Amino acid sequence: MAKPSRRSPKSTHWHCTQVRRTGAGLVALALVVTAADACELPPGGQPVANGDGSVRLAYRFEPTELRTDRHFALLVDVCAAAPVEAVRVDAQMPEHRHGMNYKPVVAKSSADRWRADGLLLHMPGRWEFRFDVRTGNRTERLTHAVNVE
Amino acid sequence: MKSVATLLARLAHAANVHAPAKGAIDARFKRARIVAALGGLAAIIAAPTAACADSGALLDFSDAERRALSAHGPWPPPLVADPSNRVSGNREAAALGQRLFFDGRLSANGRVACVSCHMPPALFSDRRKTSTGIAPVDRNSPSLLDVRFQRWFGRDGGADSLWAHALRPLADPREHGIALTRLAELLSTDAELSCRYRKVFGRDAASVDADTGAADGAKAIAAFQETLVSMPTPFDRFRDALAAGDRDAAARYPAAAQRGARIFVGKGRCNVCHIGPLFSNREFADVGIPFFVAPGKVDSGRHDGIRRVRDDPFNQLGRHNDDPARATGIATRHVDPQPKNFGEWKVPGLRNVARTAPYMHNGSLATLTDVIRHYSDLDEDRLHADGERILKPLKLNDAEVADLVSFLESLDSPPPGFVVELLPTPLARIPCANDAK
Repeated sequence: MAKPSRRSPKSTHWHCTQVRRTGAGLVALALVVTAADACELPPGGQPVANGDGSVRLAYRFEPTELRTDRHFALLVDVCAAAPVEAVRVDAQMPEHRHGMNYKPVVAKSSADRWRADGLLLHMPGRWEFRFDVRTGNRTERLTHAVNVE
Repeated sequence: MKSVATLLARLAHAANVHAPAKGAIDARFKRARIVAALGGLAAIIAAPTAACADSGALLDFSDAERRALSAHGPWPPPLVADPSNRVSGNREAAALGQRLFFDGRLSANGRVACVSCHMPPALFSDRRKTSTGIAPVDRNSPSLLDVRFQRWFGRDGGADSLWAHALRPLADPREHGIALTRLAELLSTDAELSCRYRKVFGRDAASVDADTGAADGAKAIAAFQETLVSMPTPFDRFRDALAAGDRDAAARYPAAAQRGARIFVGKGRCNVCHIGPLFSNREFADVGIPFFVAPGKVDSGRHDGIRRVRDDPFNQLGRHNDDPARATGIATRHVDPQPKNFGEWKVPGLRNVARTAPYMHNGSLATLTDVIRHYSDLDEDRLHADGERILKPLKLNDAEVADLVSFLESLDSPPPGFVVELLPTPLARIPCANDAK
């Protein structure tokens, strides 16, 4: 039968400190996720989230039908644990290794909504939308692929 | 009947002129109109026989192929007026514009008109490798058929509206070689032109500044060019039948053209860039055609085109745009210059392509077969598009090349290829009040 290990007082102090720190981190993470979860994205948009769910967004097209060869806007609703300072939008064709011929301009249109104007997908195929969401000194990239005929 | 149509087509080609004098344009154009009309009649008689020779069965197109082919119509698209041009769609403006289009006085030597490089019998191109105005230029003259449907104008997209593009050749020292004030001056001083201007714009041309007068003249020219819309083609009849599920009608489309259509949307992937009813995405591409013009001289294509359009005082962001909202400026506002633009050229539409040889921005490929073999045997090392991977050698065999040519030939409208409401005497100067209604 193994004897129970005996810790020194110093070791115990370190161990408790680590437990407190870990617990604080878990609480912080829970708060982060909770803050993001508490934000509701309006229905109808295409949802996209990062790996841990700390940044979520939903986007929709304007006009609503996505076609090649026609300029369109993206309306992007964002939920994040921290205030969103900027959103950058772009689109690429990964298989062709090129992007758009146009540079979207993104502006905040309301509390949680951003509007990207000037996009145009100039050929059919698989396009990947890329959303760079900046909160504080952290930028999170979210991507979503669409197939355009 | 086929030999009659061929003979008449050759006569129409012989009516082409080179740097014509004003009187010569009038006489030859009249002959060309008559020849083109007779050619159309003969072709209509000959066409059913030619079409029947190789049709009767429909290939087993997949759903994806049907959708892809259906996306190339219907034709023509809705004819929407240009909001940046307040006289777009105006018949009187088109009449004024047509006068200006044929007027050699809009050149430094009095002999070069728009029609010099954009001749009706040649579907408003000139069938030369590269064109000559006052002096030789480096580029092939594109057809003006269906030009109204473009987003960017010129082979490098250096203009963002049809009317702004009408001004560019006037000012180019190798093309017309005049100051734009010359256009405003003509509209003020010529009795007929000033009368027409007054009818269209509701004021005297002398009452506006020279830039506004030039912009107005260009808008009238654009109103004329907007009328140059090609007629539906054998492909359109096939496409419409396919979209409607009418197998019998679709089966009348020649078998070779059907096979070529399958290659176009399949193995050839031509519809990646040649999309929609116009068979063009209206953007730009590097297809491996050299951009060297002469030792030490390059033609950078889209790279220079973006710079031009941004610097142009007549662009869609400027004061001459008649659209108060400037919605038409969205492309110019957002266009993104990139290194890959060097050596890119506008993707041309393919309607009537078989009748507008030679091909490419510099006229370097003489026939459609040459063009297809260029893509079939593509040297990827010649592509200079910054890591882009769109084009790959198609490796077509001879039969596939021939089928693709057959498909492209089916994009030809029955001769003369277009319907344009021409003034009875496009060149003679008559008082504008005497025009027949």
